[in-house]
Amino acid sequence: MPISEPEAEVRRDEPGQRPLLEVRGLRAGYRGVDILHGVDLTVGQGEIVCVVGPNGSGKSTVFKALYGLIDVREGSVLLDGEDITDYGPQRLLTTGIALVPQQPAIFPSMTVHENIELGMYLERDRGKIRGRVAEVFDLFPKLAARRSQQAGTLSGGERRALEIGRSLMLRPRLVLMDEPSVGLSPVLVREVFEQLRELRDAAGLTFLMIEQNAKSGLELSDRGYVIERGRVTYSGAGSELLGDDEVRRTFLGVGKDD
Amino acid sequence: MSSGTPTVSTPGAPPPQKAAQRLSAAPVRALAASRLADPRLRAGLFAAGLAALLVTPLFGLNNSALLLFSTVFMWIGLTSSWNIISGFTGYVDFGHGVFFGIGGYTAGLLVTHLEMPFWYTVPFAPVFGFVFALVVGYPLLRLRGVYFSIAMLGAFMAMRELALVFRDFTGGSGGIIFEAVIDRTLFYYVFLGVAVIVVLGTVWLRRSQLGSSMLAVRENEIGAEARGINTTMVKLTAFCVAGSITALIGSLWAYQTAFIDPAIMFRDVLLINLALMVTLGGLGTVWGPALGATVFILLRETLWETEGEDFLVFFGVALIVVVLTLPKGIAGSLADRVHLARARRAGKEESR
Amino acid sequence: MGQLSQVVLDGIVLGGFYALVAQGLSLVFGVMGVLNLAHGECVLIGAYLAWTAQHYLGVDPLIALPVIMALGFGFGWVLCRTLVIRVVERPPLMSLLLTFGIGAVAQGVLLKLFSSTPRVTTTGYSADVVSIFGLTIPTPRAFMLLGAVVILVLTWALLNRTRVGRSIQAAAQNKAAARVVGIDIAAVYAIAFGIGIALVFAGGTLLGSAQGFYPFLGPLLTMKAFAIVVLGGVGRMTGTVLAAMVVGLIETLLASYVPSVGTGLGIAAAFILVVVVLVVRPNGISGGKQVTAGV
Repeated sequence: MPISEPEAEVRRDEPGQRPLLEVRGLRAGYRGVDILHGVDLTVGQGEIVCVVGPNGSGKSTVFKALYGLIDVREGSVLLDGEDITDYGPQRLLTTGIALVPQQPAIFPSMTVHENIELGMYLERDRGKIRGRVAEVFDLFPKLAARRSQQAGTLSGGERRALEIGRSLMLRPRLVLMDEPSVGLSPVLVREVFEQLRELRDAAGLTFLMIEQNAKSGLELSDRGYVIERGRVTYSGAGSELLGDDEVRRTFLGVGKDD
Repeated sequence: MSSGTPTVSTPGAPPPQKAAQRLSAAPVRALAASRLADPRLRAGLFAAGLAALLVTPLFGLNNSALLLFSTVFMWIGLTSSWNIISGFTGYVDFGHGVFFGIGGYTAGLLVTHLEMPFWYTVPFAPVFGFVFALVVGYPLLRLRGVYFSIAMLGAFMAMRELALVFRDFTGGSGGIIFEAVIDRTLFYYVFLGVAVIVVLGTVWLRRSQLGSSMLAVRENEIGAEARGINTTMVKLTAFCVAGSITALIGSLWAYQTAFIDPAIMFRDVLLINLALMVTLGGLGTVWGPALGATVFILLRETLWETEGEDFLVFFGVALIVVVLTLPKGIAGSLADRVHLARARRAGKEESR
Repeated sequence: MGQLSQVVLDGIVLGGFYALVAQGLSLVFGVMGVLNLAHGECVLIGAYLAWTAQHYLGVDPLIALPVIMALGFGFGWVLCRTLVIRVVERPPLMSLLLTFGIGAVAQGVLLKLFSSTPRVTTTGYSADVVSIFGLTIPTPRAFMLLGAVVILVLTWALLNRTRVGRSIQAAAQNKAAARVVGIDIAAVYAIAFGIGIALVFAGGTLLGSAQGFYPFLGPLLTMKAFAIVVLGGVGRMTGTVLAAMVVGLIETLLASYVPSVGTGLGIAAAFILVVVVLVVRPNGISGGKQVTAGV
């Protein structure tokens, strides 16, 4: 497997300004077996970045390492210059990184409103929580209409919106999204991604996601990274990667199987 | 390099043979490596061991040694049959002692009420065990695993209550006394026979289509159903087979002991022992239950002379320690260790 | 039918006790997916604590109750942090075996400390009775019902009206979601387990002055609690209370109307009821239902 040098990166942020998230030489794995062999990636303020890769490539390990769910053996993770490598899930939340997990993550027997409120579980000030809930409902009018409905009765797309809305309660600087397209129809996937763009434009949010579905993931984000066997093999603008013959041949072919 | 690296599991590959190989090969890997993977050699070793056990009583073992051996054989039979339902299908039967009690009471009631000679009653025990498994298993095996486990514990306790309460029929807490047969050599051979048949049966089962179906149920029941396996039938078969063997052993044990009452035929310790021995040896493995039973009984006999409350504390602690330190049992843990070492080696090679 | 209404009242009193014990089991199972097979032994630990307080220190069980509940919470918390947490997200067999082992140890220790002789916590009002509408309840049993009702109401409020309760509900409904909003799942487990054990310690305390108890009672109590949880649906408090009443009633009715054998058939009756319910609703009582910790 030839490993090409990462190509020149397209950045949205101004030259000289440091990226919001910077991952350097990440090595991590389970029980002494490394899965990531030195991963570098950056996410600029206001970008939507997508990490793609075949099954077992280590892309979900990247997230686990970022989110403090497995130990990082080497390398570092910086958020706006702050070293957050060893932060656990709670600390990351308060530092400004939210996660929308791959598996369904709503509380089915609670109302939409209660679900949103729980996004600010770490905050005890009732008044502050009330204010933020109103802000989130402003961003998601469809959810506001269903605020007193049990979350278990929502449709798939609404659930995903609820998860995203809830993750915004703590006003994160960066939202990690683990396979946002899982379980959604192509139409809904497009809708979710459009919503992310709107949120980025409206609230200045930054998204980093991993996607199994490489085609739609790359199409709909600003920039992408391809991870294979625990290393970044390609990176660049989403459309560029999609157009790259090498990427198409070695990687997107895998996508046809799903 | 990567082409020589063994994958941890191949989806869709037939599991029985591969797993059987892995389990039997793992413990001896350090010694003779691949030699033991040869089935002819293993069969030879098994035959030699069996021959040795067959002739052992001829060399004048005393009664307590004979009893110790037959106890080991009995527990090998019990653990291996329990393993069929709990280990292979993953439906852990936490009240399996109920079949032991049913076996003992089948013999006891036939002897006292119909005045049958004991040996005539022997075939009835597995039949009643089978019927009880069918009647109780049909509704209960549709439950999720944990529910099934504890519902069986309920069945166990309920049967003990019934045996206690209907004293006109069962003798209540006074129990039933058999005509004593103190022939240790006889029971040595009887229990040896049971153990050999059950263990060989397990080996055969593990390689059979039915055995693969059981494992499929354990790994992913919905998936198994989707692949066209009649999961209800598979679970019921496993349960009925395990139940009838245990009932048979219960009836033989009752006759050997020459006395039954609800407290000894339906004793909690039987449940603890089953769980402990099989967990120790390796739940769901072919040889684990037999290994666990042997190690456990020999350890208990040689190291511990405990009774009553000390016994409970000792076994409780042992169970906790085994669960926390050896969750996959001796057989499973050794197999794991070999795998991990391989994965590490492979990982190193790849990163070079 | 004077006698029938008396039997029904007795059944309700017993049901109140069962509801308390079953709620503890249900909470732990609903949140952690762990069926605590040492549950009945924990009831007995509570009962022996109250007995000890009364016997050696002369403290009335009702006075000791809050302290015993606090001890129960602490005991459950420690047990969870040290042992149970290691098996929570493993196959159910592991937690069954572990709690089975804990139960065996508890039973052995209780036998060593207190022997198998049945005990009753005798108080100043042990021989008193309360009469209502011409029916009578022994005072300790009246306290048992009253105590159970008060504690269950407080538990409901804790689970539904507090931040801790909200986090327990959240963890019971979706662990992944609870994690991403910053709920410390391990802490929630320990708290839920602690509350569960506090409830059964309370149950034991109340039971101890109402009737005799001995170390071998543990598995019976576990079984009845389990039967109630299955009948009522995991994590549904109203369901648990109703099912507890049904089991309590069946037990007192059997004991009164089935001569000689009725008193010994508590488990058999509860078990047969469970099997019947499962046959009627083959998916299991909570099959496909959403699981919550309270309400």
